[in-house]
Amino acid sequence: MTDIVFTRRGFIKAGALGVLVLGTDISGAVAQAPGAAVELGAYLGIAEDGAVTIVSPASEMGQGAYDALARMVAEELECAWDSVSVRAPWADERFRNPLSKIQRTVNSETISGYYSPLRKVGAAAREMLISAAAQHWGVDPAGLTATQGRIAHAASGRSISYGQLAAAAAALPVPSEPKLKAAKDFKLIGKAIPRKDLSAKVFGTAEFGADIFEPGMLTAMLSLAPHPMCKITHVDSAKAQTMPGVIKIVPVDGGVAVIADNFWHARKASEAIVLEYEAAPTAELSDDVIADRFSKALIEVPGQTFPETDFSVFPPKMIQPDRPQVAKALESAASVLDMTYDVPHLAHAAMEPLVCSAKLTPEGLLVRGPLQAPEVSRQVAADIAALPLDKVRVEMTFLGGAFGRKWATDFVRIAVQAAIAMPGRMVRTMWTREQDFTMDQFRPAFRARIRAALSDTGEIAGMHSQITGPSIWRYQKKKQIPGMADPSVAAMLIYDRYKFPNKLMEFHEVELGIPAGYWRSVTLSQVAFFAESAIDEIAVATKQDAYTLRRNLLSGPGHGRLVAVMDKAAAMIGWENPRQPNVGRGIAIAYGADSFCAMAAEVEVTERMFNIRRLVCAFDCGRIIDPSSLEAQISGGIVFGLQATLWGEVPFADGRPQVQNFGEFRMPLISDIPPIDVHLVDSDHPPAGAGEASTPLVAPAICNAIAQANGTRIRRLPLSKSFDI
Amino acid sequence: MAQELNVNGRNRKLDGDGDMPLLWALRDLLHLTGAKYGCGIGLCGACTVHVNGEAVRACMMQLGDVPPGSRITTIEGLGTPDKPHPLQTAWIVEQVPQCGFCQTGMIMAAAALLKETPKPSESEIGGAISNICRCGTYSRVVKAIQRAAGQLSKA
Repeated sequence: MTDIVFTRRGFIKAGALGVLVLGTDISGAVAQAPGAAVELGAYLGIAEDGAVTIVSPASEMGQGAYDALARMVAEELECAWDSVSVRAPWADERFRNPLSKIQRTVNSETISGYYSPLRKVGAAAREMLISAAAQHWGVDPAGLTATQGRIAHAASGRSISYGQLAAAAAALPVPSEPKLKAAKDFKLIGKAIPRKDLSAKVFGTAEFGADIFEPGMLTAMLSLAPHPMCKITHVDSAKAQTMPGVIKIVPVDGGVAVIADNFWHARKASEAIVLEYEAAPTAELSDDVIADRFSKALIEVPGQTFPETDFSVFPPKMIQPDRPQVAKALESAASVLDMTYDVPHLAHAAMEPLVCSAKLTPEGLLVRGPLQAPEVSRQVAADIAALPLDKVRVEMTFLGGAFGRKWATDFVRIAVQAAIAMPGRMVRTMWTREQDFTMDQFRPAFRARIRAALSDTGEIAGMHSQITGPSIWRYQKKKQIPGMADPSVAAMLIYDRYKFPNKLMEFHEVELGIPAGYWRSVTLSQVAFFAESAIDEIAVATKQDAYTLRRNLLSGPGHGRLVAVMDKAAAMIGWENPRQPNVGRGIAIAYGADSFCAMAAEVEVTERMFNIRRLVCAFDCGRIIDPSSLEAQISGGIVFGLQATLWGEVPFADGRPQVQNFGEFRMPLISDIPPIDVHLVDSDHPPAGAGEASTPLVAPAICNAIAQANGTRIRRLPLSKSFDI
Repeated sequence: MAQELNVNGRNRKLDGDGDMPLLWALRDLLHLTGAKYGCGIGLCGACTVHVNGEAVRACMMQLGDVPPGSRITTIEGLGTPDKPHPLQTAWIVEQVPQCGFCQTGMIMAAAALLKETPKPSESEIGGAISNICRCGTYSRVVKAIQRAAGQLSKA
């Protein structure tokens, strides 16, 4: 798949050769280009002084994409890592991820998608530099070596820098199959090297969405109806018009934008706007109503299935589950374990509230912001400004966290709507924290009813899992796959892997109209809790050890990596060690985006209090690009999951989310963090994404541990509903 | 109104509304964007700066309430790559930041703590710093503070 990208010539040597233009905007002004750099393509520039610029095609939102991707190029290029600087991406089809065929930073696909093509970029450039040196000296390229940004000719003792060769190298043909290094020769990949973006982040110079500045820039703040679909019937902006600093008030999606000379003026005036609007489509909703609709849907709404897909034939064949067989297994079971689980709506709550800036000039439209979806944002901006795509430039700042929320483009749309009302001026549209919470595209609430058919010897004879809740795809108006339920509700189910017969999973869809979106780990964020709690309940009911039962159910071939991380996590938590009274241990496993994760928790429970004594995690995502950065992703994902487990909840009343700020959406603080140990499994498997699989396992690991400690089975999140925490 | 303050060692005139939060005076009037807007109600700590040596949530302090002539230190004044504060050095060694948005406020809170408590225990750090980090960098924050504390005691 990656070869397709590479052999599309132009990937490396796109556009005209010449000066690598850094920091230009669409008005054509060239900012400080570091020397006259030679363009080797969209990705790579080598300046005369040897400075190497690598453009990250993916957004940097904390996951370490800039360094990881730049290292893939630099590893093969054989340049000095100190000579490399990483440049933020802009929307450009040359930066498309080969896996998704679109430029976006989502779905744990950055590392896996770009690993091969970016190494080839570096390797091709290295071979071109070697060829240029061979021509320069009139020697056989076989006698040349590339290291630390220089080409050396051992026979004559000469050497020459990449900078001196770059112009000549750029004129050479691009090798279509450059030779990649063997992993054993890696100098950068696999090493813990401080990330280049950290300096700017600790000295306060990193540019996040709200930090961009240019003379004459304006700030827009919003007055929004409580739901994006609300129809505005009247706007009273008389008072706001007269307030200090206010320049213009313009209609935008779902409300108005107040454009003023600074944040404070814009904010005060936006609060003086009186909006009238028709009732929101969610006006009747409360948590009780939602729960009631879930109960009814399980009975009344026909279930959609998640069929297995056979890709060995074309078109792929869907293998639907055998409903009568599953029904029979439940009817004829010695006993049926009937379990119902609930998870609430959740907010993304990135520390950086939504923000995006735009500027319309006669040359075109410039959009700058913290975006996960540059390519779609560019199209959205072009449509609103009625400009051809090539007149729209979209540039990424650092993202102050995203977790899926900045994949949406609602905030880009509004920013462009505000900016085109003020041609010639950069307009920065900022959302308040309250708007960021109340206008989130939430991880939906879900309920699962799981019935397990058990034989008299304790074997699982079948399992019927019913999930009800909203479909993210439905809200996002994404085309559904005929014959298959929305896979964002339940996919990568662990009990796909557990070996037992007669599995049926169905989705009973409820349309709530509450904005729904992708939240770190998406389906796993709910399904791992359902599935890994249920298997634990089966272990308890059949008097089996929870770890041993999982191991038995994974005894067939093909589960080696999953079993290995589970064994490791069990060893780390001391699964076999004697337990003190009121202490329990729980384990849970998941796989997602080609990563395998196992987590174990040890808790101490006393009535309505509990204490998490330890959380341990073993993680296998194939080849490790940087162990320190990877550990940060996994332990950070655990803290993210800990928030959802302990406190995460966005209740609804009168159709509105009841969370305004961090006061209602309790976050863990330093003092709340239990000891967390992460073990990384390195291997030769292709590198995979690591930002997601640890998050969803915190809840089942802790809840399974609580069950072992005192027999209390938690079937509803967050735990603050059941314990004093 | 114009408020005269000493910001990062320089006397500055801040010509903003009296009710303008210090955070926005720093960001929009002086373009010191290291302090961040995260919640606007003093909960998250992303806006933390020092006013006369004390850590303050700048989103909650109105410009008109800052005593004239006060010394304000922002992350930009704490240290520079050439002359880093020990916390900034430790933060890079421990590879603390992920997205980085909350980290400047976290470092300012830690700097104030170390002035009061030069060698804080883990629980003293947890008791003193209530800044929110959504990426979950907390354990590395603690390590970096303790690393910096070691350096400070040698200095």
